[in-house]
Amino acid sequence: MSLFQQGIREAAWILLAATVLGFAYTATFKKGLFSDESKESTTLPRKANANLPLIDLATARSLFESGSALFIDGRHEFDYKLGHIKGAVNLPLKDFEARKAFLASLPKDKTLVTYCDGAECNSSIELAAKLFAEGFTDVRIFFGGWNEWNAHQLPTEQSEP
Amino acid sequence: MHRRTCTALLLPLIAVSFSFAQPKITVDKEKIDLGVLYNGAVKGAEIKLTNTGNDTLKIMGVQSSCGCTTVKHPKSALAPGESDIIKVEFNSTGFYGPATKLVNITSNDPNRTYVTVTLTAEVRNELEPVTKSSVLWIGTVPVGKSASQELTFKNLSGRTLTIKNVVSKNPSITVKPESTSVPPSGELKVSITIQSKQEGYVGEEVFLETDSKNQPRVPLRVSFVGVKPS
Repeated sequence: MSLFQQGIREAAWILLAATVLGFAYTATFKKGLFSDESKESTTLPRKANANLPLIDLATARSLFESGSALFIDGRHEFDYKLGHIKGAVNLPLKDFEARKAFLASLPKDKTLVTYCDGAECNSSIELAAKLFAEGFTDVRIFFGGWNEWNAHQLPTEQSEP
Repeated sequence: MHRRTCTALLLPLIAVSFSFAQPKITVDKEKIDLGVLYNGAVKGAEIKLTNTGNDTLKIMGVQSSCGCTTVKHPKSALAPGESDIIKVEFNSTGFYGPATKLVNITSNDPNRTYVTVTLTAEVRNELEPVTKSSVLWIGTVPVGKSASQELTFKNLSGRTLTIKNVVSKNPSITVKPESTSVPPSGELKVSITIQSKQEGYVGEEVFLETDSKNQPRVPLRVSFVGVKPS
């Protein structure tokens, strides 16, 4: 076998090995042909919801007790005054634009927990989406809301309307 | 002398009566029972306000809690003896079981700066999500991608229900029931797929139309946030 033929054969082996390694790499790390993004449809939402997760009562309670989160009540002012999660601030959707100065005072990585009445209302979700759009990176939605919190006799406070 | 005595007696009386001139807010009912509603139904109620005082009653505001909308506000000022109507609507979408909503009226009545009218209803379902929530949160979805979730409904009507149609005003939300017929106590899986077309929040109501007389439209609130592709 000539030196030239030997070179061609080695080059072919190297090319084959590189191809196999390339496929193995892209399959393992879901890149290129194996990327999720290349698919027409993706079964979500677990990964996507990582940004704005729904949290249950136990998680909300744990965040409350740790003092690490700011609870944001998305209900009307009147409902808020009648009773709300202790320490929560009131931010009805209609007042969102007017309260941007307050939001600007919060660190963007602050854990925010939005809630409204409970499973029948959508404003906790819409509020979380608006906060996310404002650049807050850790926004969670307490879907059970005021009704569930109050039913479990967890700490609340009120002020006269 | 006699005239002077009368004047002396009358003047304080007039002064006292002016100082006691004040508005008084009265509502015809403080509790309104809307009865049984099927999830998705909207029902209205009227509250009659009367100024039973002897000075102008100023209505400062009418606030209603989540699920209630004030569709007709009263006049901002009522003369003594004058009445007006507040019309409110309760949208039962998403409620399950007993629902209590409040309408709060604030005024310049010095003895009662706010009056609360309580609306109650019993909200039922014939086709009920097993999660007992009509809100479906898809999450954040990169623009250009689609996402799906499945929701299971249970037929509580006691008879076979037929799904006649699916209504979605937003073309980026498609709803596909696995079947058009649900036996009594049977379950129906419904697949909801969204296409994220632009950045921002999207919240839409979609409906399953059934042959039920009680609940001809079963509502579902679908929401997601379109985000920049990573």
